[in-house]
Amino acid sequence: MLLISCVAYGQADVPAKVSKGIVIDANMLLVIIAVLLLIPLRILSKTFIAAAKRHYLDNINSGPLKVLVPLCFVLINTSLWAQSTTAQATSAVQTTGNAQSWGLLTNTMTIMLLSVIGIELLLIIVFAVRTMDLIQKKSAKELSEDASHDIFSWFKEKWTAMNFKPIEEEYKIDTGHSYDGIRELDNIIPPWFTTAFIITIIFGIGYFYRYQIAKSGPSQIQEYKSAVALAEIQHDEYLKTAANAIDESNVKIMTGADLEEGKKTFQTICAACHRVDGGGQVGPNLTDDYWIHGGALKDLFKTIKYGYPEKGMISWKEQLSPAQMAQAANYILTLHGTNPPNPKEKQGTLYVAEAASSDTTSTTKMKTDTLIKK
Amino acid sequence: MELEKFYYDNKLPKMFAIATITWGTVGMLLGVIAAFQLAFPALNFSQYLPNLSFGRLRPVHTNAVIFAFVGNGIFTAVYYSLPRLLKTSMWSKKLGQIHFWGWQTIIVLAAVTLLSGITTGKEYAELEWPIDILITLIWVVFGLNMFGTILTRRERHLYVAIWFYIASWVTVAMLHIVNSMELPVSLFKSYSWYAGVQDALVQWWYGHNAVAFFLTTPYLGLMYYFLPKAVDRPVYSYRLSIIHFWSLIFIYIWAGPHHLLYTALPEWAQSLGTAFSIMLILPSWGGMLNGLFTLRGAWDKVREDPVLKFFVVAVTAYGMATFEGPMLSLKNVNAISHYSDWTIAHVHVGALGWNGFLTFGMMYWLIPKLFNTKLYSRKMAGTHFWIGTLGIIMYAIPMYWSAFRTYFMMKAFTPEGQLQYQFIDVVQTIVPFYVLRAIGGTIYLTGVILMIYNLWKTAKAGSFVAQEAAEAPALERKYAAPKGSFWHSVIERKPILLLILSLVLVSLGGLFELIPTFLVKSNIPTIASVKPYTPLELQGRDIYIREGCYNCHSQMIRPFRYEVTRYGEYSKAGEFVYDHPFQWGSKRTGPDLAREGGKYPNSWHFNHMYEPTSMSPGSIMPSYPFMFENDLDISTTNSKIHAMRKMGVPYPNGYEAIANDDLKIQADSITANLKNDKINIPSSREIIALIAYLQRLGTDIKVTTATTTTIK
Repeated sequence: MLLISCVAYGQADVPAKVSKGIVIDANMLLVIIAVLLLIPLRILSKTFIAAAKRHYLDNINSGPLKVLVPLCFVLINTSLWAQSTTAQATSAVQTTGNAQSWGLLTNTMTIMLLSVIGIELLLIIVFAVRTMDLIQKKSAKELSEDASHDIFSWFKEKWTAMNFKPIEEEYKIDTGHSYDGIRELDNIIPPWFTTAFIITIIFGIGYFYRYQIAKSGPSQIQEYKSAVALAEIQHDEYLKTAANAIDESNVKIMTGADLEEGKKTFQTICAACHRVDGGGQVGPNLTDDYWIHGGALKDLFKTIKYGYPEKGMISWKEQLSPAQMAQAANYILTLHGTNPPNPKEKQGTLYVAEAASSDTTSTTKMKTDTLIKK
Repeated sequence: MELEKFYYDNKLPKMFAIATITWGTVGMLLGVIAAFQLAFPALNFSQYLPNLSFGRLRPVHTNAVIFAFVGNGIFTAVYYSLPRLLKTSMWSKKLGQIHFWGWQTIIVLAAVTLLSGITTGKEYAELEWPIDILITLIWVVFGLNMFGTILTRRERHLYVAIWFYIASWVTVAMLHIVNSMELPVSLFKSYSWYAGVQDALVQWWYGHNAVAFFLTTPYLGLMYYFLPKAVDRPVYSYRLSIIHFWSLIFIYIWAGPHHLLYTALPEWAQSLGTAFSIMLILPSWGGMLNGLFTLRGAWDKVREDPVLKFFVVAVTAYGMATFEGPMLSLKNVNAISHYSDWTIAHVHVGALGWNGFLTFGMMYWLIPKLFNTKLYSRKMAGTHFWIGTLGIIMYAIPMYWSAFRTYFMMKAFTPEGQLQYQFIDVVQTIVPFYVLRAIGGTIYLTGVILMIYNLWKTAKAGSFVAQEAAEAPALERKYAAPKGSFWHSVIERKPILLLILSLVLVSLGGLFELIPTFLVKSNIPTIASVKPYTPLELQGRDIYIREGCYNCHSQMIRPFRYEVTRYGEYSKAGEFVYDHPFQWGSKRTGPDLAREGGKYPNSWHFNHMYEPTSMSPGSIMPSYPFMFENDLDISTTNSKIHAMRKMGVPYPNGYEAIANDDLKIQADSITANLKNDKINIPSSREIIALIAYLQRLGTDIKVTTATTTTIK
């Protein structure tokens, strides 16, 4: 299993190295940690089985159970053992699938590896705690018999030392301090506290190493670039399948529900500058015959889509979908001639649409407004 | 050995306690008002007067709660516990009085200046330079009194609470002085000595550690005194105290850059911030463990005694907040939380839970002691406890919820590749959460009012004990430590050594992070097209700062696809080199403004500032009609340009003399442009300067992209 995982890791690693020329050594480091952790895990699991055997075999007298119980322990243990290595292998294999996106590759990989390490640590703690428990359950008498040369008695001593002192025994760990009547005990620091502290320190060092020294983690700009690249791929694929690929060359006259949608868009977005009735305020009047950038549907669509930032009309293509822009443009056409009160003065050139029935095919004329020119 | 008689003074603790409760109530009330303002913009009253709008009120709230409420809480605890822990009277009553009245003066000055728009524009350090100097002086008075007391003690060793007091004192002094380096322009105006990225780093090194050494470590000292006192149990573990004290103060100081993840701050500093934040979990939890485990064997008392109930929830809230903090400093989590209400929820769990409840517990224990009586109503205190807890929950949950809604809406794209929601859609979605949050805050405040009544009745029922007699033998000059005594006890006998060691430890993080950012050029790559602000833009920027726009608007686009699409190209370190102070902000109640320049026409800004909903229906921004009536004070242009050049902004020599000519030309061109849109306004108004500034934002770099494309 371990071998497979290593091989799988190697496979995952190579293409990334070749394609981007960046060494993924922080992940390698994690693999090494994961492998190294297997050693104490193995030892502890064996100790656990040994302790369990001692405990249960001493207390169980019936024959078959004597065989069954340790067997169970062995089974549980090996299955867990297998699980952790499998997880490691799959983590490495899975990442090969994402090799195209460098940022994802290392991220997924690292998360997988970290979770493997996490599981290993968890198992170590579980085994350690269970072993200690089993040892404690042995009667004091038994322990005193073989205290001198038994490794378990050493564990036992450590274990009791690692626990809360019962309140009756507190006097043993009283520091003798009394500050305005406040006494201080000298309880041990909980072992989980120390362990967790060490783990966070290792994490901290590892984190800094990964991002700043090995630079195997993506920088924020690399992350950004891969996010944009991914979005572009998705967008392209969407466009291939999407039916609503409307642009300024094929935008069509709409009616009914589309106009209602267009009205909504207009009122939430456009009305701020052009007024709800289209009479114009910051932006020009949209109800009269005069247009700065053309009054045909296609022109309107184009104006909305790309904007004329130098004149204050911003581009909406990042915020509105092509369908929404087409609906809004169609709605604006319906405002023509509504003559709202107190409109903005005319701007631009006179525009006359010839055949209003089908805007997309009509030939549109732009007449120079002599009034304005003169 | 002869016993010496002396007295513990209760007068100063009482004064500080009253100040704590008073300012606490004021600060929380302002918080509730500010919370309601976000939901109901009419409450800004900015049509009538400029002083109460959210941008000015929010800094008063934060300053009041941090420096007035918690500050006085610290002093109450120190003036009560320090003499008792050292078996001596406070060194100087006179200095104590100066300290008390000096600090209250600072608070009043702070409130008045901030509401008048006098601010440095750096969060939690908004006070202008004369007040900064006053703070330094009063802080020194406090330190003198504290060390005078320590040096005249009758107790050989210093208790852990005092270690925390000492470390807090020296670190706050360091943070305050370094972050407040500013060049005065006039009596009420100064510019931060640092600019852009460096200013941001110094600011958050300060801001983060103000949380650490003002809101956390002194309150740990407070906990170490009042919690074992109230429960009458020995402190759980002396060696845990040692470990967590030293590791906490050393590691905390490094974590500041986690407030600037994904910004233009050099990434090595960001990584350091994250790494140390994670390491900070256990040192922080050491305090929680020592608090909670001290209650071991006394949980039956906790069920009965409201004081202990407050302490338990306070310590638990501390544990939660100090776990959440490191999680928030992980890059991927921070991407969600930064600029959102998550941060607000996080700090309020800390402030309402840890600082608030610890203070309330202390008061319920202390006031009956000071007045030699029993608490008027235990039941009422119990009710306060439940109301307060409910308030915290009602506050926090809507904010967490709002943060996630915000995140998912902000990053949502349609399949076509457009942003699915406008910023205003997000605002509209979270307004109901703002309402709920404000209700949560109101509930919490109700509890406080209940406490005031309870304590008032207690004080009435008892009689104030101005002095408590005590006696103890003087310390002998010579002292031989008993054989086999623990090495750390040497430090506990030598307060000056403890002070120096603390200072050395807390300096390290700052030195390692600040110095390279200042000295290594490559950290902030220069951009040739970035030019200093024009005089009008500079004046507009000062209006932006005066109105506290940074409280709701960031100027830092993070390199995320959804931010770049929404706001424009992500921000670069080199863009901020002339920003004294930086204005990156920490919360987006409104959209980012880093590339606001050129996005909308002048007339849009004009209408929007006059009545935000006219241009942006559903906006919760206050209106600023007074900017359309007030003339810009251009008498300051000269000294402002001069100060800027002193700090390295490359205005030509002698430019200050002609700066106002340029200012007028630019103002006139904006007015002319507005006239095209049927808007008539004199070019001397403040709004013109503000529009000039807003239209400049982020445009330097747009120029670069434009030129590079033409070259291609």
